[in-house]
Amino acid sequence: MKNISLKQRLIIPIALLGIVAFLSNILSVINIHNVNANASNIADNYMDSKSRLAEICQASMNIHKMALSHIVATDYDTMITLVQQIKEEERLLDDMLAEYKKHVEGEDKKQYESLLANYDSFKHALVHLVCASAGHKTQDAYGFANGDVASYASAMEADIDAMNVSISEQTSDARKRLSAVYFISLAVGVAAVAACALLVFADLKLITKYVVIPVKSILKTIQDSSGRINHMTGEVLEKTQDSKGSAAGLSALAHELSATIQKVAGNVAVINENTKSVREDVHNIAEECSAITDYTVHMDARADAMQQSAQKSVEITGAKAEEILHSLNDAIEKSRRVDQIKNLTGEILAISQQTRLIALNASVEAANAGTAGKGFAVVAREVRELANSSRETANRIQSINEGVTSAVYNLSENAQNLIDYMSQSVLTEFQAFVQSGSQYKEDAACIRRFMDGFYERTECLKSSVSGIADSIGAITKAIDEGASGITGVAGNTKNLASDMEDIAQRMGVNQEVVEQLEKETVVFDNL
Amino acid sequence: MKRKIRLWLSLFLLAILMSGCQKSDSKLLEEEQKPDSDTVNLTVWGAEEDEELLSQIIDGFQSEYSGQAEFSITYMPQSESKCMDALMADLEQGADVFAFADDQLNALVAAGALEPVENPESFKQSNLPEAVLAASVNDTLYALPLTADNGYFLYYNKQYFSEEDIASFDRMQDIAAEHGKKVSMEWSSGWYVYSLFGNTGLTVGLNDDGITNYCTWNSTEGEIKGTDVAQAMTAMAGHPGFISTDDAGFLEGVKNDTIIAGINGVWNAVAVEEAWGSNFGAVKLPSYTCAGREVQMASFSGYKLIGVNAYSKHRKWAARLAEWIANEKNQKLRFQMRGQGPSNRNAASSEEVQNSPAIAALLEQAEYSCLQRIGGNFWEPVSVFTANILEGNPAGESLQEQLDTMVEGITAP
Repeated sequence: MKNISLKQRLIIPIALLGIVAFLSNILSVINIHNVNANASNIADNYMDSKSRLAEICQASMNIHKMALSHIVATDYDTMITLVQQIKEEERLLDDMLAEYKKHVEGEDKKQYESLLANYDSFKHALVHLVCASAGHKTQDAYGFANGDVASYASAMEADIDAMNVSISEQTSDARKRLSAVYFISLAVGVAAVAACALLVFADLKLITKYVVIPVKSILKTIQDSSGRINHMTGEVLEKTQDSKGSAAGLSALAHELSATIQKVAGNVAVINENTKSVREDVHNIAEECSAITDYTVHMDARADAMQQSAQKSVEITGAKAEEILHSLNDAIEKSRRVDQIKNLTGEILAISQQTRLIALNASVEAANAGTAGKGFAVVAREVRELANSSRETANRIQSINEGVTSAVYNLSENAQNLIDYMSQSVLTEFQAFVQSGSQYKEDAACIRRFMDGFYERTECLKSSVSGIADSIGAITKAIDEGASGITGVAGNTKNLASDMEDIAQRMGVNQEVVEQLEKETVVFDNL
Repeated sequence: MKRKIRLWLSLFLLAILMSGCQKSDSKLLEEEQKPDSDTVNLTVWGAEEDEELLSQIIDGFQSEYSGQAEFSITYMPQSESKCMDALMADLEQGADVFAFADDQLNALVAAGALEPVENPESFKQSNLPEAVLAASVNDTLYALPLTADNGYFLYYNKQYFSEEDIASFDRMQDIAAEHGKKVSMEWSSGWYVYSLFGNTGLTVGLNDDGITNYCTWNSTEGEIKGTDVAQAMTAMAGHPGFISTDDAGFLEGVKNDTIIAGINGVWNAVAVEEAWGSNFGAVKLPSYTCAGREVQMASFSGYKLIGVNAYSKHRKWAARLAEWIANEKNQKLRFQMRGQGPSNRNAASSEEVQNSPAIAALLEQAEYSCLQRIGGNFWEPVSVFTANILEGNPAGESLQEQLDTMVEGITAP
């Protein structure tokens, strides 16, 4: 016994206990299997058989009822529905009976065969019944219902009852077998429990002697060590807490400084943005001034062109008016020759008067001449008539000439009016236009001079604003770098505080481990 | 290494799965091609006159499916109009495939003799809509349409009748009597008797229950009363040029030249044409004198269907045989051999069918016909009534009383 190691001392009693428990369990499983087999046989076979027989009985009754309903049905639709239901129920019953075959044993086989034969006859009788019913041979249908169908249904019922009785007997036998198996199992179980109790007692003795006492000694040592570790951990924890406070203060200060610098940087950035905006505005103004100056150059050119055009128009119009005036005066002067027509017609009138007087004298002379003067008298009369005709024609020419003369005078007067208008109004207007063009040119030149001056000042302003914007940009960059440096300091300080916190936590965990170790070892105090 | 193992494992599983699929596929193929080991015994019921036609059709079926099963197919003559009664007597021992008139469909379905047709859409598309309707109950197809000609019209011998004569039944009777011949009509069946009542304003039909009938053939009111029709029938029955005889009697009379005109259906068209040759004529029904006026004769129309017995031991093969009998090719053959109008769209639209005098007569009569939907209680009372009229009313019962008795029987619940 002294040569056996501690490991063997512990394993041997436990292994023995395990073997006994294993054997005991195997026996239990075998017993349970036996009990289960018997119980299953009762439940699955006999009870299931009974249940299935009840279903078979119910199905056959349903078919019987539906067949009777077929007879009393008053329309084909109902009959068709019923015959389909009957066939469906028959199919189910066929399946049920086929399924039931596995439950049939021993002497029940004969009864089962009888049931099948009766069911087959029942189905044949049903066909006859349904045919008679569908063919409106109601009396025949009732004959089948009360005859073959009823007798085969009763025979089936009797078969089912007989099988039920047989199953009840078999169930009773199975229950007896189940009780026997139960008692055997009980006896085996009690024996196993006794063996286990004996082994447990032996185990307790062995474990106390070879395990509990040595373990208690080790425990005492562990508890002392853990006390010392706990004390040391407390001290480290205390110091870490102090350092953690200082680091936290420093971190907060750095944070505040960083925030202030960031705020300043923010404001400078806003100024920078505004300056950029001003620079862009000044640039835009300079560009617009340049555009206006270009425009005034164009204005000046256009005014000059306009003045020259007007001057040219004045000269051309004056020359043209002079030429027209000259032509008109010439034409009027020539038209005055019409007055000579009046003088000429007056002379014609005088000639005709004289001719008339001559003719008169000639006629007088002709009368005096008598017969010899007759021919001359005719000539004198013709001359007189010619003189009269000349006078009338001359008078008519004078009358027409008066109208022509009046028209020539009128035309001459209107031509004079036109010449006056051209020389007085149109030329005056052109000259005024020339003056306006000169004035416009002067104005454009004046605006251009002003805009040149404004453009020079705007360029100066643009240069100044760009200088300001660059300076502010440099300031912003410097502030950003400063803020970034301070944020880095704050971050490092924070990391320091975080590391201190981590150390503190780990010390706390260390302390908890020690406490846990002490608690665990307390369990062994009761050994 | 692990990846390799996974790859090999996946391939292994895939191979197992694929081999499983292959196995099941080949199994299915084997099952499909495997001929039925047992002999397929099938019984076919059809009209007696269709024996030769059905024999040809059955031979064609056996050669079509030879190698897939050993067939033993038996044809048995069975009147299509009495098919239901024969089948209902012992449904389980009845024919596997049977031809029947569409008015029996409801009762056969109600008896469970017919199951819904599988894959009905192809049949619905290949057949005339009215024929599909006649083969359906509540929109479910229970049988296959076989013919679309189950109606009747007038056959006449052109040797005796002019175009004008055939417009009046009275005139035809007179001509027949003059020649010592007969004009026939079957009064033992209410199917034909309907033609005398149909256009008089008197009504008969099926109630909403699909079983019982309504009937006003005994009405004492209206322009034409029940007794007016009964009196016209009495006069007809007593005319020396009239004879009431069934299908067989009609054909016999046509063949021995005692009957020179008659009301009958297309199923006898070939036989009548053979007998009369170029004198063969077919036309819509004539009018007859009733209550002093000419009344156009009406008619019942219907369809012949082919059904598969729900209790057949070889339902799969029975269904294939029914499908074979009703297919386009065999409906054309039916028309060629028996003159029966096809329900198959393609067969019905063929030039040959369109040019048939019997089919043309049936189409002409269609204007005065209605689909036969009548309860089972209709036939017997009508037969009793007509039998009494044909015998000359030996009991001396008044016509009104006889009509009342008939209507009571027709409308009985």
